[in-house]
Amino acid sequence: MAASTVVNGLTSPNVSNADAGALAEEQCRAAKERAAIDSASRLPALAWLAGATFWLLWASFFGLVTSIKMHIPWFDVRVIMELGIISTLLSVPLMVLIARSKNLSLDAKIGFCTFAFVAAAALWLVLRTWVFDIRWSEHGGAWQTFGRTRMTHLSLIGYGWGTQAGIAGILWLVPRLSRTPLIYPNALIAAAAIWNVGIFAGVIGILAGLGTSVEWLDFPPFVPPFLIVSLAIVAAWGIVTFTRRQESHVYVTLWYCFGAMFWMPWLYTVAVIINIYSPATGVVQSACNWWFAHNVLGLWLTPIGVGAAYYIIPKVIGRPVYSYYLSIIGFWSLALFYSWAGMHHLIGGPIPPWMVSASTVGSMMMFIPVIAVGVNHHMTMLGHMGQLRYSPSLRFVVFGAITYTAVSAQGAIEALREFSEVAHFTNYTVGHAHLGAYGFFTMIMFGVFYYMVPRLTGQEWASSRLIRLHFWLCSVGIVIYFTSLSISGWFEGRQMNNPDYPFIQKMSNELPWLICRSIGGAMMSLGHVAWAILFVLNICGVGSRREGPTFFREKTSAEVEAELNGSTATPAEVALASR
Amino acid sequence: MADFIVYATVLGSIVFFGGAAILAMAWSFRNGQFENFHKSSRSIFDADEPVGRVTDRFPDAPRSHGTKNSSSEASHRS
Amino acid sequence: MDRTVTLLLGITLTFASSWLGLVFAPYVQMNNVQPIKGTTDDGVEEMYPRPLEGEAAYGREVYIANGCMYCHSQQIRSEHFGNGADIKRNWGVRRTVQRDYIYEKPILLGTMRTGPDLANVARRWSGQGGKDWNHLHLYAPRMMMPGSLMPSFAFLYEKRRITGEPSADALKLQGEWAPEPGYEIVPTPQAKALVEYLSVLDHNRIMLPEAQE
Repeated sequence: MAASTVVNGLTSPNVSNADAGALAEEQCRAAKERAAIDSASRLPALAWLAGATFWLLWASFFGLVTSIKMHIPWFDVRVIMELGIISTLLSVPLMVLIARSKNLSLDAKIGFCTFAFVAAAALWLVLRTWVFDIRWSEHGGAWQTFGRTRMTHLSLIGYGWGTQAGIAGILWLVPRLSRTPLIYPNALIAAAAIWNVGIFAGVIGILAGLGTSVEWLDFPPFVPPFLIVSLAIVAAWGIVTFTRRQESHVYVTLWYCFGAMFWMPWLYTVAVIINIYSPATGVVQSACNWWFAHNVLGLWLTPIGVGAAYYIIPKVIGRPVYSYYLSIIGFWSLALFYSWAGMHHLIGGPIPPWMVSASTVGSMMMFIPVIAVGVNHHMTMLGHMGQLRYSPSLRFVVFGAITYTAVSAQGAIEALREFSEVAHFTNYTVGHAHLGAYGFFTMIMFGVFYYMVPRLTGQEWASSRLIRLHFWLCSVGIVIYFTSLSISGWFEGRQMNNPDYPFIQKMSNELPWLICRSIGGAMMSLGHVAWAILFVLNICGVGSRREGPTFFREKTSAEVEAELNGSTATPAEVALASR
Repeated sequence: MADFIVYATVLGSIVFFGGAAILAMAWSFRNGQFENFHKSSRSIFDADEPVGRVTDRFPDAPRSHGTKNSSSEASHRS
Repeated sequence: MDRTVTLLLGITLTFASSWLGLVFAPYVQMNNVQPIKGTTDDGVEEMYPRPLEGEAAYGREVYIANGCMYCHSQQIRSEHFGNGADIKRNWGVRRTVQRDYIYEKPILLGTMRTGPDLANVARRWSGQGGKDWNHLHLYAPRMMMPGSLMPSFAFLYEKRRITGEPSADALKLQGEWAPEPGYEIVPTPQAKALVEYLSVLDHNRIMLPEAQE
């Protein structure tokens, strides 16, 4: 703390103290060094993030479609697509006019554009229903049947969004923490391209009926080679970066990132061989399948999410983690115990009971890393909760960190046989999976990106209002989603275990909860649209240029001029004028 | 043949990745990674972003004293 | 130093053990389960299980391509699990075990029961009557099961104008599901294969010694 007081007190330009001068030099050097490191990460990280954002939108679309189809089985996606395309065509001219207006603030522009789109959609809905009387041929077509949209949704979330978001985060975090500029940017961009070609081919394949119906490995057999090559490039980059690092201490986030980068290619390759290319006999496939599917969460998404939180929370509030010792314990115990945890997905099934028992023990051991991480994240925040009002990234990350504690405790309990007898085979599991992959991982990654992107592009976020909208839509959405499915799932399980309870009645009882789930899902999807708009605006350079210690640069002549003239121009206009 | 592929993949990866985990642990002990936790936990802070400085805010938020930006002032002078 | 070595060995063993325990051990233990000779309910002696052939095997591919297993499991759990409801609901006469699945690639155990379990669906809808029911149910689930949330698989059927005599395999649809007069709904080869698969899908064909409880 002493150091920071000195900094705040003595570095004004007027002080001609030799110490202050040296300190200023040092600050200058540190800021420049970090800016150089960030700038080397810019293209690769943004390339992966762009892919992630693109597929996030599609994953949301397919997720929402899947969710709606569960309570409206005859729902036809083509109506939505038609509505989307026609309202876009109708509203784009208006949007262009709005965007060109000189009198409107950016927030107002975004608001008006949204209004134009909604109005166009409403107009078209009226026209098509009562004026043109458009009807699609009765049956939606094979590509949009529930089973295929569900496979598409899961694959896109796991590989399109989750993995790419994780790698985007890694490509920024690892160089920063190693204090060495990112190397081989072209190889990493090529890896992103290969990955996205693979995802695209995979989605088309699933929709065309080539999906494998192996959960988490649904992509057709021609896709995994793309993904393996891409993961291998990233892992190789990780090794070389590690050997080149300038920071002698390996911060806990780095441990998590490196662990994740090695576990994922390994898990994926083994799982693909045993499940797709050279399928083992019968139930062995299931064991391997769930060992893999659970570890994608536990040894790939979780380390990235937890690791990123270990960096973002202390960094944003300017306070080291509560107990660094615990954080290291947490990392190693995760590495040791998590990989045992997947078998409860097969509880009661035709696998040897000892496997489920062993897995339950593993799940219980998970309380060690979970408590270590929970104590650390929450105790670090203690006394700094006020910062949540001011920092967008902190909001998302802390939401994710709290969810992590909750979802992990829930997961450990779910592995118990008595609990699974009810919860298994119901929507309870679906709620749990979303709490983990969304409430925890996705929310933390959003937080990371709110911190990372401005430092890569040198561009502030265009609209605080949109960020707040994104946060509230996603957080309220996932809470609705999780609550409704958990309640529904518990009743489903109780009713299925009662042999006299009619199955069809159980199904009807789900309806109100499934509708709630679609509402929650729609809110999350809207939140993702807000995120995509913010991301695109940032990339396109709309909004004010960034200033401050994290993105070190000289003021532009236009800004200096504006200051001298006492101009009232907004930073955005200054930034535009300076181009 | 299929058997051989599976055996090779699974056993091979256990040796490879188990070995990697050992080496990583051994290295971090030898390297003193677990020695000074106080210092280690502060390795993410720099001279210009020291402990005590808040580094993120909404773009339109007024600057509190915590986000006061001294290094850019320093840079203008240099 | 020797303590470090012990610690490291312990760590490696723990870390590698999940691979050994959850992938390798089941592989060694279960990969060589063989079919055995048994007697079916009708008193026929045969080898069980047998790989699917012909139309049923193609039907299984249709089942996979359309992700049926995301709503329908194919496993019967022990009578000591979940109140024994699987068996009491008449979804099967015994629990399913490893041997029941040795020819399944990929295996379709499933993890969700939005719809009922299908491990032995052939026992519930057997013969020509069962096939007809399945066709009608695939085409118009709510005609057969009011309140069902199953999607219609109408894309596996073809609507065509009746020329001359109506086809023998045309679906006997009623009410709002019936096509307009002069038209009929007939199954495509995919639909026929899928229904064929459902009408042989029986994981309880013979009692297995290891499934006794």
